[in-house]
Amino acid sequence: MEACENTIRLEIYRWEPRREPRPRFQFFHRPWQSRLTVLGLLQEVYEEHDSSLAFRSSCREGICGACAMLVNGRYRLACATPVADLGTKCITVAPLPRLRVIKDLVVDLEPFWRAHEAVRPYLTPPSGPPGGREFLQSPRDRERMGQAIACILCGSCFSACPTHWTGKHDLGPAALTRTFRFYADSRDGDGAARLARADRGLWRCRYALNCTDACPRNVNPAHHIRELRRQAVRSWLGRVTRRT
Amino acid sequence: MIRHRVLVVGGGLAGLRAAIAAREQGANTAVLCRLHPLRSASVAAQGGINAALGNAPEGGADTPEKHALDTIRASAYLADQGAVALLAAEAPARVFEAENWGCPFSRTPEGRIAQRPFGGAGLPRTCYAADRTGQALVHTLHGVALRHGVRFYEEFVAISLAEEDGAVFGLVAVNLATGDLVPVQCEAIVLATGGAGRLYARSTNGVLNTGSGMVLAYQAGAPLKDMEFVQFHPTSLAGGNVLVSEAARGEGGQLKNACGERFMARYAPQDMELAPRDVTARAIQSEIEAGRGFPGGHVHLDLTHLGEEPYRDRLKGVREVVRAFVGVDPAVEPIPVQPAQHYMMGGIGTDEHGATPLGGVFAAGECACVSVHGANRLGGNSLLETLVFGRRAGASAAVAARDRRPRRVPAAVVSEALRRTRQEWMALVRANGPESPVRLRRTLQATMTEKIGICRDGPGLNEAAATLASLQERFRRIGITRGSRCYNLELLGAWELRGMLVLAEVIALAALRRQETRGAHCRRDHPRRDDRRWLVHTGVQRGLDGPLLSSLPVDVSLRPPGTD
Ligand SMILES: Cc1cc2nc3c(=O)[nH]c(=O)nc-3n(C[C@H](O)[C@H](O)[C@H](O)COP(=O)(O)OP(=O)(O)OC[C@H]3O[C@@H](n4cnc5c(N)ncnc54)[C@H](O)[C@@H]3O)c2cc1C
Ligand code: SF4
Ligand code: FES
Repeated sequence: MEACENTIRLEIYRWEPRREPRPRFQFFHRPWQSRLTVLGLLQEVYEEHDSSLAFRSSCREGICGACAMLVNGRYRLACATPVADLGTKCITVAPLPRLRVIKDLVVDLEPFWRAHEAVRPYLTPPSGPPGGREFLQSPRDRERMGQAIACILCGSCFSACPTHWTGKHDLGPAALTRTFRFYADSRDGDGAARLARADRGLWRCRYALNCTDACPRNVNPAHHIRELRRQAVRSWLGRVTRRT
Repeated sequence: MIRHRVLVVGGGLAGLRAAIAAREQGANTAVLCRLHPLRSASVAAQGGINAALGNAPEGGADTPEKHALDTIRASAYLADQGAVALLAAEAPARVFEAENWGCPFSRTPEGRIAQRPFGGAGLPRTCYAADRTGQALVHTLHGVALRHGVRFYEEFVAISLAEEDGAVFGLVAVNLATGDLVPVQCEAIVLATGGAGRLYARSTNGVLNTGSGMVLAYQAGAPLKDMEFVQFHPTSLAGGNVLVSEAARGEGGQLKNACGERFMARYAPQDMELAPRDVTARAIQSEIEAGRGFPGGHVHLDLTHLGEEPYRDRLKGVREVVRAFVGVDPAVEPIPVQPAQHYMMGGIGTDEHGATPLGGVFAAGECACVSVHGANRLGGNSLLETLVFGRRAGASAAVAARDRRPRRVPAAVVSEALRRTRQEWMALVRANGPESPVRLRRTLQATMTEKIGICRDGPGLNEAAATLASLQERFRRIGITRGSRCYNLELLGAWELRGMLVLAEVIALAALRRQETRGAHCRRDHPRRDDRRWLVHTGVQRGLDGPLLSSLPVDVSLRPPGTD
């Protein structure tokens, strides 16, 4: 089957592990519309062909992270991916790899959320806030958190990280990025403990850069991991020199 | 059976703040959530959150009193002024608290929370975190809720309340992953399920905003309030209706119809494109209806004369969004825009503590109506409402839960609710009639957009009510594909559709009853505001045979209309 001029040839991964022995791909032809997004396409399939299709979505504007999936082999937010940007009218949609499939495009993100919770994703200031007002933070200091604050926890990098595939449940790129976000926050006072907690995962990173490549929000987890490592080495050296 | 002292339904900003407040009171607290809390609609808010901090140089003289006055004026005097005073007075504390919890607000050169001007406010009062204020706040509060030991049930959807004799002891939820119906028992419930934009064909809201909390409360006997007041945003991208920020007009964007004419000159010659949201939305809608729109029903927002400069900073986000969703570069081509539903001013009627007349039921956020928005919401006030009244509702729920002395064995009420709900649910599972839920839903959305949209009139509303009645009738002959129970979106969608039809009927009747034009409620056949007859809230309660409508008093104790 070839896609022709005015149609999209869509291929969707379907699997319900509790009922079916193995996954399959289901084919659809849909009329080409230049302003359609991949999520829009899935919605059309759900409404007009097969309402047993399972997928997650919420904001449909690329900010909630619910619709992360593989589109033509690349990590994408389906809602923020116009079909016109794909450069082809043959589209393949699959769930985030290496996570347990619940049904079709819906995967179990439990290990991802556990890693997120393990890094204590909240501010721990050294002392109470200054008299019922805000902590002061210069625009420069705010900048130090960089793109790390733009992470929407979509799970793409977690799924893409090869260190992870070994089966060891490390923290993964997003949780380390979140660690960096608080470590770099001038209001936080928990730096040393954060580095210690990040130890699980920080040193396993092989700079495959899959995470940075996968991120649909232009976050650069590999960069944040490198920065955390540098800080960890520095603090370790500090301790060693103090001891001698 | 799952048991908690306080159960929060919804993990958006209102739900998260309520859960934290309940934990602060020491109550065992859980949050039920349709998807993970970080997927809630609150993350989409870009603009910011209002509080009279006086951090901007021009904002030095700002006070909660001025904030309250701006809110009251925007509300067309339909907001309860005591509640508005509370909202404005507690705003700085809630914003500072969010900052102290780690919210990455943008900063002034002195390191204070940055504030910018927003429509309808006299001074720069809107605190923001770049153009991701909602996301910054949700991520912050979710972290704090984890720290406080709030328990989360993700992908659990509440589908009915366990009510008996006007008191509620728990609810029935469906676990999406397994399809099981799960009974939950609790001492107090906080409903925080957000808006109902999906009632409309065109909405800026996310796909989860189906008004389910309003339906849960209404079905259990709690009155809804001011449901006819629906805010429309003038500029959403044609097609998917992603919001184009007001900043695009603020920077000098021009609205043009298909004849290339700057039509705002006819509707608001003074303010032109900077006219208030409702005026601009009506103007665009009138152009489209008069046949001066582009095919597909939109007009152009033209920024091409502004050059490249604004995109370096202030309109960077706008350019990205427009490029991604309509494939247009606003520096080169005009943006296709159309009005879309944006916010529900009405909701579950509550007092200042978030309490409803139903025993054990509280509500907060967009699904509630305190009311602080009256006939029209001021931009930046709804994020604020989620924090101020989310906290109040959560704390009151925890206290009420502690003092509750139920007359009946609560577990029996919940079991009874489970039995009843399972019956109805299974009836839907087995439904094999000729009507398709998708088709009914589309008709509903089209009816709402055309007849109960930006401009309304008596005949149109009557037609809408008739269509809605026939949709309810057709729903009885619905058919569901025989699918598996696991992650069955069709089944959940059909269940929600039934609720949406009920909600739509309430909106239609409330809009029909209010024979005046006030704020977002525009009646072409009654174009004037009429304080003599209609300075009242609309209450709607479920009766034995259909909705019962009534008028409720408005609190105008601070600034009665006509005094300025
Ligand atoms: C595009 C956009 C931009 C906006 N910008 C601004 C702005 O700049 N400033 C401002 O003040 N306001 C803004 N608003 C409005 C504001 O974002 C919302 O009113 C507010 O976030 C609502 O928060 P909430 O907590 O009440 O509901 P939501 O954030 O919608 O959360 C609802 C929660 O309930 C859950 N839920 C729903 N039904 C069920 C059920 N049956 N069972 C279990 N869980 C359920 C959902 O999963 C979700 O977690 C904007 C709105 C939109 C759409
Ligand atoms: S870093 Fe990027 S890919 Fe990873 S979770 Fe965050 S947004 Fe998703
Ligand atoms: S639906 Fe929210 S990111 Fe796609």
